[in-house]
Amino acid sequence: MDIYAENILDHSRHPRQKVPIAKPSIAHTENNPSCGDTLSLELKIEKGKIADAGWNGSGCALSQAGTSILLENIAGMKVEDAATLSPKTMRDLLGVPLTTRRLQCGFLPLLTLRNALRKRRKEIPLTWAELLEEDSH
Amino acid sequence: MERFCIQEKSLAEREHKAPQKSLSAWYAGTLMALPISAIRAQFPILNRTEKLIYLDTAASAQKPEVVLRAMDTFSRSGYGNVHRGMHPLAERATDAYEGARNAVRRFIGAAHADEIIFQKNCTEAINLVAKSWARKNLKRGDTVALSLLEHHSNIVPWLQLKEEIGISVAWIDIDDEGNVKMKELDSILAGGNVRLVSVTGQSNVLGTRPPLREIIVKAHAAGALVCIDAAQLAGHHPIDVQKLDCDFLTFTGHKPYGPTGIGVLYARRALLREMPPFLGGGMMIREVKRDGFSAADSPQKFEAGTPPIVEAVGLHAAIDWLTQYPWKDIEEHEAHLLKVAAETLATVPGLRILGHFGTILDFQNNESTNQRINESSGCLSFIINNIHPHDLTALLGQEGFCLRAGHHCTQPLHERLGIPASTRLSVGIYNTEEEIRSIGPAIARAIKRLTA
Repeated sequence: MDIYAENILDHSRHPRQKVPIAKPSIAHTENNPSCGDTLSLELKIEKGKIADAGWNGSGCALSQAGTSILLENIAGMKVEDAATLSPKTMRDLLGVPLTTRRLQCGFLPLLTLRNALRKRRKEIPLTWAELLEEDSH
Repeated sequence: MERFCIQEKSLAEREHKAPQKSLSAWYAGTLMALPISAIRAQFPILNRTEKLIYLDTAASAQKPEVVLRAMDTFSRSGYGNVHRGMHPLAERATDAYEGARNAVRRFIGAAHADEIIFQKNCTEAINLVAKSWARKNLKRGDTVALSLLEHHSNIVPWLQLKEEIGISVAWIDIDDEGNVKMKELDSILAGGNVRLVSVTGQSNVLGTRPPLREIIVKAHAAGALVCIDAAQLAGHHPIDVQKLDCDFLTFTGHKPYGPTGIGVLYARRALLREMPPFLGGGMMIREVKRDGFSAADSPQKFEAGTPPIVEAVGLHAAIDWLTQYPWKDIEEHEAHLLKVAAETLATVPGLRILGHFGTILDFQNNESTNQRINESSGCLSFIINNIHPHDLTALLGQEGFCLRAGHHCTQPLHERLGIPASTRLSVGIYNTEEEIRSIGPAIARAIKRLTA
């Protein structure tokens, strides 16, 4: 099985929630420094849960599909759970093997989500090195 | 992903195809074009059973057996630290390292060995110019002019200097084909405070080769020095710094079939004499006291610490290997490959080639097309509607095709072209027409997979 599995191709061709949302609580943008993927995320947080999420961005099928899949799965999630969502969970959501060169494509949605929530708590952003170190454990 | 069983052909088997000594002797007397099969046989990585079509030489070149063997042999029998010690290995190593310096001097036509400074790579060499020459000689309001073709290594050091001391960075625009707009260079120079023009000898995205001699004449007339980033040019065309009359020129070892870890700065003797050291440490000093130091002369002044000794030996071997082939044959071979690439890619629906090669189908085999093809070298880049370069190159990679995707360290160029990323196909001396033609169907398969 390679990364261009049906679910990835489907989500990249028909990305869910790729729209702005009304009155976002927080907005954050990240990009993949190895190449040209960018992601802007908007989250609406109500009563400690993710009430709505929207995004925009351009990039490879994996990063676009990953964002679409991730946002479907965090709907209604408690903020503290979303803030600590792990690389392992992201891998499970993608359901395809990630080679070294595609790690940043696959984890871009995760990094953007976690840094959006860190920004909301006025914490310093997570770096790629820190995220990839979490992944290796 | 399928894994092939990988086996190396034995060295003897490969040597039988391309006996080193007699090949050079035989070849030297012929008028034939490059012996491509014999050349390919000399590259171990291209002779594995694994299918590899390597079209990423602009990122880095593969190494021929003689380069690998030279470094290995030196490490086994001649290795020691250089310029230190009086023992036999110190002698051998120093001779090898300085011998490499002289080989580089001849390779680029420099007059003096002390005008050749070894660094880690081309990026470090450009940084040396920025942080030594420019930081000392430029002040707030002075201008450095760059073209929009430039690689980040020839952009960021100047932007850093802008942050540090307030120099201005002026941009020479390009047209939609990638040609540097010479009239814009003229008006920037007419502004009166340009101290340096720093341009590429060959674009790593479009393959465009700016008219260096013309740029140098104009810059000098306006009182500006010129730095040439020859990272892509070296290994594809001959370089003669005295004929060019440039003030600085930089390149790296790993693109002209040498090892990583070594780069070159060429600079005029008079400039180097006045430039302050870059990195400080051992070797670059004359005297060190508790309260101060004095610097050595060039080239040692700019080579602090233990240098890349083994890599210098490798670069020397690469230069010797490459220069056995007439430049005209190399240039014709690579120009032909790029023409075939443009023709092959032009058949893919929704694919647009950037730069010169994008216009190839507008003209059919006439003089002006051929001339214009020759203005670009080394690579071409393209985009395909609704297909991201990452996905394309990942799928091509599954079939063994090695191409590069992204912005290729040229974000300002991509912004000028109005695209977030592109796919680059680049050629080296070892590529064949068959390899290039086979990529057409592979791209079609990838597109089908991604859009089905």
